[in-house]
Amino acid sequence: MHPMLRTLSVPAAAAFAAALLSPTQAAAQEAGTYNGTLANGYPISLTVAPAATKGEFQVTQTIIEYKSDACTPGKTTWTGYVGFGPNAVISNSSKKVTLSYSSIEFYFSGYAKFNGATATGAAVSYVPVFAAAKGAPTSSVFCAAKLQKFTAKLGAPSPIDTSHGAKHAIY
Amino acid sequence: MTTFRNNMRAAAGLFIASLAVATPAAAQEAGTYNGTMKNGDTFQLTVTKATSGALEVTAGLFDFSVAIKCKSNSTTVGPVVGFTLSPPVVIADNKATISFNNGADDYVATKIEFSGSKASGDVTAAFAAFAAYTGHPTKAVYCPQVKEDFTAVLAKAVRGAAVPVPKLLFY
Repeated sequence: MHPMLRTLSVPAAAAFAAALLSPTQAAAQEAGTYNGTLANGYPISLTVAPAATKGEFQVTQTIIEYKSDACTPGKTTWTGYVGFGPNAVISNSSKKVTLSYSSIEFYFSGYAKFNGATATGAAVSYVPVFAAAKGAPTSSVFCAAKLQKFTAKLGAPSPIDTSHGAKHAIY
Repeated sequence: MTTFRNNMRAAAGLFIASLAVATPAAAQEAGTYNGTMKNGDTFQLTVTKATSGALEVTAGLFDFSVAIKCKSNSTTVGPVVGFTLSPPVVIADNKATISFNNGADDYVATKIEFSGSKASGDVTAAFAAFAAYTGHPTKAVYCPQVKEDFTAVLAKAVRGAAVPVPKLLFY
């Protein structure tokens, strides 16, 4: 055994352990963009930034992309992405955050839990869109990114296909 | 509703107010045309001069503050919709026909005829929305705006004054 460690007092050992742990704790909540997919393959992206309170982090932006099988009736092939800025603070103790948004044109409900450079969670969201994406519309359809678990990695390539365009500007 | 569309209303009002400076009568020219529909809704269209010398409509901002009733139920919407036209719509024989569909849930179409510093025409629009504002959405509804006639006048910003353009308003 290393002589220094042998003579280390219990409080000092605790402090030493805490010092060793701090880099890991910091990594548990890192600012940056966490990209991943829902279990059904729908892309999701979470942006994390420092919160107003020192030492806290928040999710500043959440984006989800809908694929062509999201809408009913099934023949509709709308694709696009929708985002919102929840500015939801991540709990320092549980590393968990609730993400929600509700309006007449977009609904999102979910959570994320951060562990190192990985975020896991589950989400469901809905949007109403025209049945026809071009020209003069005549009806609307209901599109759902059904409740699915997801995994997202810090710094992973963005899964959002921006060529599809946003349903609304990301804000 | 706390949506992007309606959050834009205050900014749009300021933007329109900043442009609403009376100008002397002039031949058809580039600038912002502020319009009022028969039902009281307001809008503005931006006309610019292309390098070719042709006048073209490059952007639109419509404030549908008079509630639009959705089909199938009693839901109403009152969105503000801003967009840029790419490519711009060239004004030919003092007329332009504009059709904007964001590929998801906003549609605005207008026919406009220019006469000096004035213009007139009509606007139709449609929106996709959830059947209800609150709770877990389960259905989409279609919300069409009946055709409204309008008149518009050219407005110019005060010479040398910076006009704040709310970029987030535009798709």
